[in-house]
Amino acid sequence: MSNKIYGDFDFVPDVLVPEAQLALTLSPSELTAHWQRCGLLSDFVAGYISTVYSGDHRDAMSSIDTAISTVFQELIENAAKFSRKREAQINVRIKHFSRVLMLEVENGTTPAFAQRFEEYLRAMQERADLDAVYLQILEAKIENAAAAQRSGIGLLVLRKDHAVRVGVRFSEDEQGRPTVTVRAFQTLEGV
Amino acid sequence: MEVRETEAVVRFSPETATVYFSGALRLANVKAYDNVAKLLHAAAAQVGEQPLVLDFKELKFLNSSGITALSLFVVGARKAGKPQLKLVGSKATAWQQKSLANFQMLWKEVPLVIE
Repeated sequence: MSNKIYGDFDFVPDVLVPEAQLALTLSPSELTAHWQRCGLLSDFVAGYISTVYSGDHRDAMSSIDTAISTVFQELIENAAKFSRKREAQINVRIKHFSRVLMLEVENGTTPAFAQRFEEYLRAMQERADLDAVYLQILEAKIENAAAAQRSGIGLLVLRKDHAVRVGVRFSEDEQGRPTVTVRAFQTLEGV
Repeated sequence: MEVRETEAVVRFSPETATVYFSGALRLANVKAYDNVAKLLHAAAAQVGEQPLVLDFKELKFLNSSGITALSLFVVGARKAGKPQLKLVGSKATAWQQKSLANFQMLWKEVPLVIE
């Protein structure tokens, strides 16, 4: 299968050299078994990047720190929940380019989830009014108890409320199993 | 009445008819918010005709599962016509300015105060 790309996956060209970068490899089970690790990771990533802004006004730095942690939390939670349970890895790559931050989370997943996620992205792509999509998803949850148990609004909230550019790549690993890579590009000005 | 999670406390004060959220609510899924939802429903039953205030000022984080769980409560109250709700947030916390308005989208008559 060739790669399929949705959204702003290549918003920042891969050849650009970041001012700071960070990579982590995790297993989904270590996150699902100890869920608090997701929050710890989010706060760590946020602190690692936002310390650059410690010379700015204290409130501005705190705001950047909270904003990064909020965005990374949604990405790492999705990877923890929707990875294949066995032999899957979660690869995190963070690149900080001046005022733009790229948060990338890649995980191996099941064909069923990859298909469902792709359908969700296609539906989002076709709708310009994100508030309307948000309302539609939440109202549907009232009518459907099973759907209510899944959030399904994480990436939508990032785009809608946090002005984050989101891109997703679907590819396959060497064994032909689906891999999902989500990138969030966050502008760290006026967050 | 209080719910304590690893990183957060949710407390209902009958005296002020207010549910105070503090800390970081980043639970694993919507189901994990059942205790919070139970507290909200119990608080709703106690306030009667008074508005129930949801005070998020001290809540640093709320993940999308939490937004979903709270949205279900807001829509449930809207459909039941009670309790009346009032939302209070803080300018100092980035997500509150951006995302609390989402609850208001679900029930337009709910006042939102950002302090």
